[in-house]
Amino acid sequence: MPPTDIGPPDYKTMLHPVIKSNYGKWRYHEILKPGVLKHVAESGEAIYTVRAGSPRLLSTDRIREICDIADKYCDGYLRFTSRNNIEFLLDDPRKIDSLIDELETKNYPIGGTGHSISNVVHTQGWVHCHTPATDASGPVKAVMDELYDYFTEMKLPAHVRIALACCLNMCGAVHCSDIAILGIHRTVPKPDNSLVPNLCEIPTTVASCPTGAVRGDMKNKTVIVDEDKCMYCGNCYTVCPAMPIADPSNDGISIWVGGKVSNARSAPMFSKLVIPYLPNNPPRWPEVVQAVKNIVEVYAANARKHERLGEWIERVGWERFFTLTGIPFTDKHIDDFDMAIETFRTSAQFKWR
Amino acid sequence: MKDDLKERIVELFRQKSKGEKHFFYIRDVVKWLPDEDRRMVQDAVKELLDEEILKYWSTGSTTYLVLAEHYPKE
Amino acid sequence: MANNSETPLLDQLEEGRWPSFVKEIKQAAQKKPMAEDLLRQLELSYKEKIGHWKHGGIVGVKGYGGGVIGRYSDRPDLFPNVQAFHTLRVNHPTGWFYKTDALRTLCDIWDKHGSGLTNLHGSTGDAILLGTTTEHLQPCFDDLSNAGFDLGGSGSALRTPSACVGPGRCEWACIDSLDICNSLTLEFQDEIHRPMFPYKFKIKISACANDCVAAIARADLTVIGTWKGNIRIDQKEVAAYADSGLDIQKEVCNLCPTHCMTWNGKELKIYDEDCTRCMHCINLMPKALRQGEEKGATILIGAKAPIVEGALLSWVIVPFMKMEPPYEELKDLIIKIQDWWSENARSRERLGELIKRMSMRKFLRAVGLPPVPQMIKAPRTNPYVFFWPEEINRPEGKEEK
Repeated sequence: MPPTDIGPPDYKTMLHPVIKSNYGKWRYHEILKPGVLKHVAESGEAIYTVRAGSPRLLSTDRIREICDIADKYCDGYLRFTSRNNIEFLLDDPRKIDSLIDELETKNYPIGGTGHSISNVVHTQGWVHCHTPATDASGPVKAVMDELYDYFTEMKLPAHVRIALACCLNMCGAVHCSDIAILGIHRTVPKPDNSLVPNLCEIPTTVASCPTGAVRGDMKNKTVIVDEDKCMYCGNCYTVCPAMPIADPSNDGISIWVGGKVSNARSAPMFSKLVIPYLPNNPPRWPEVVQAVKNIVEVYAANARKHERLGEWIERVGWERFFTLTGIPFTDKHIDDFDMAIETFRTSAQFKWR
Repeated sequence: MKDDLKERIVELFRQKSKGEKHFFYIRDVVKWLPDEDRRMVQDAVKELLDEEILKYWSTGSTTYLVLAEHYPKE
Repeated sequence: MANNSETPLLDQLEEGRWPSFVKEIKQAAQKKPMAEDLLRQLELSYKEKIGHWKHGGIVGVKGYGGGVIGRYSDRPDLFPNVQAFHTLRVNHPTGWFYKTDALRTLCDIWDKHGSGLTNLHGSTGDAILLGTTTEHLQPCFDDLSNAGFDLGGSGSALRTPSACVGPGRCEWACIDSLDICNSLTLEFQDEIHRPMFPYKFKIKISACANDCVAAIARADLTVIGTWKGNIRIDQKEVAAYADSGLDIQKEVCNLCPTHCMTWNGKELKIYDEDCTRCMHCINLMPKALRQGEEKGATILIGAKAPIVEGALLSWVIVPFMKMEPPYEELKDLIIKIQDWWSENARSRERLGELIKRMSMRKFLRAVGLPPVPQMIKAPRTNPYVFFWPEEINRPEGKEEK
């Protein structure tokens, strides 16, 4: 029997020798150009990083190609970032340009540093999830094709972090992103009363609902969903495959903006709803791409240097945000959940537009 | 001591599984045995899982416990 | 020319400049019928605008209660090779550092047992091996384990802890995020692999307040590196930044949230007692400004995504904790927190939701932490104040009922 509970491979065995000998003794860093970092240690030694974008969904052949490149230029040392970028680590600055040449020849975008749009953190979508309201990889690909130059250049006022979750369970936790693309269901799960009795345990299905929206119908050995209580998490479908939640003509995407995680300047913030619904329009989700692009461009044209999207909106006000972006304001934008009243305006101070 | 606890847990699972419900949270099991220490109950459940008398069933986010004989077929 | 492709919609996602996931699936499909059926099923999803996966409930390998996510096609009649298509979460080396031989080993194992498709990395931090059959789960785990890899967490368990790059490559690291993460991961193997919690529990560690792993937004237990003492200023380097075009007044001083700095064109002054260590000035002038010398961490708890009661950001519970191996103080605190949560939570109630329901006051007392002003933005504004029984004066001789 192979051992259990051994934990991950020891990261110390994966560290570049320059990193190992300067561990914890870094002095400063510079962004030499988009996608290229130089970290200098107190010893004077430096480690160079070349950051490349990735679709995150990688074939083993592609990983081997990445390994070949890392072997050729980086003595086999690389890492991945929390936003799915690949970082090639090298100690010889003379190799940087040829590494970049080879990466660009093989269509790896170089960038994601500084005031850029880095890679999009995302979930599984139709590729592997069972409760998605949209695909993940497809919208990400379509959005990044359009925003490509923002990845490879550093021309924005500050970082813009985009994330996508394919339903509100948010296994990608997009709720503190500059721009969050969130798949939403708009209709409740539909129990198939001919299948539920055979496929599902009624008490377990009832108990699976976090909001108490699923009731047992013991006479017909099935369940009933309360449309007023359901918030479309799909937990019931997970334990009872006879009550699918997906609804192709109503599922779609919502857009949220102004979140941040970093403590720099302002405190971390949640993203707020700005577009309640856009249709799923595969393969390229043009409405979503256009909406994200519009927000990025309006932000880029109006924000001050170092101002994150949410900080800019807090300064100019949401009235101004909706005016400048041309996004219609609806009753969906006004919160009606738990702490809703905290978001209502309690002063006579506001802008006309 | 532990064997006795394990037997009681299995017996409780059999009783509670008589109806339509076969999936339980660890929290349910702890509540069935209010006089027992939570960690003792958990350890006994872990042994029963190792012995495959109980089985885990997971939604990916939430984990349930189920008697092996009631584990759903693929 | 007619398009004879079986996947005309997905083919359109091979175009464009950003790397294409469709190309990756097609690449794997050259060797793996499983990947080919994944592609065909995905095309159907694109056509019908609907997913085609069912959940399974399978947890994977002998002795473990997680690390595998069960998936089954809801159209096995059309796509028999993905009838079962389970994911393995493989615990990544801390900080996502790799030597190529380790990655090649993963690839070899995955070509032998699965679809040849992966996520590097999943949202959980784990290396995701995307898609294999039920029969291959145990042999795949066996090969992984023999090669030094282990599975990550899923279900009602401690999830794979993750950490920023920290001292591996960052001058802003106030704590050894990598070592802390690795040490906690090894300490809590049982909690990761054998789910016994009310629900999921996540630990993330960022070595400074820039929080590159989103610990404050995504982790039930958040560790963020910070410091005490004065920011160390190298005035020569400040001047060099000014000479190189940085507008120190406008970009540094004016954007400081506490306005605790002044710049007269020659000298930068910081009134450190007002500084809240947000990192902005240090971010802009890493050569000139260094954090104070006494390093440690702020511990926060409770963050989560919306399900069920809405999203939460983590709350400060320990303003400053020294972080030295073997991190006994942190580990003891984690055990106390998890015990209190396990004793009191309803099923599927996250730690933050439990505190919201039962009160921070009770939580702090239970885990033995003193209340301090750093925990709050402002004191309460409502008069519904509860006192502990021992704080109430009672007539002599009368015991509390």
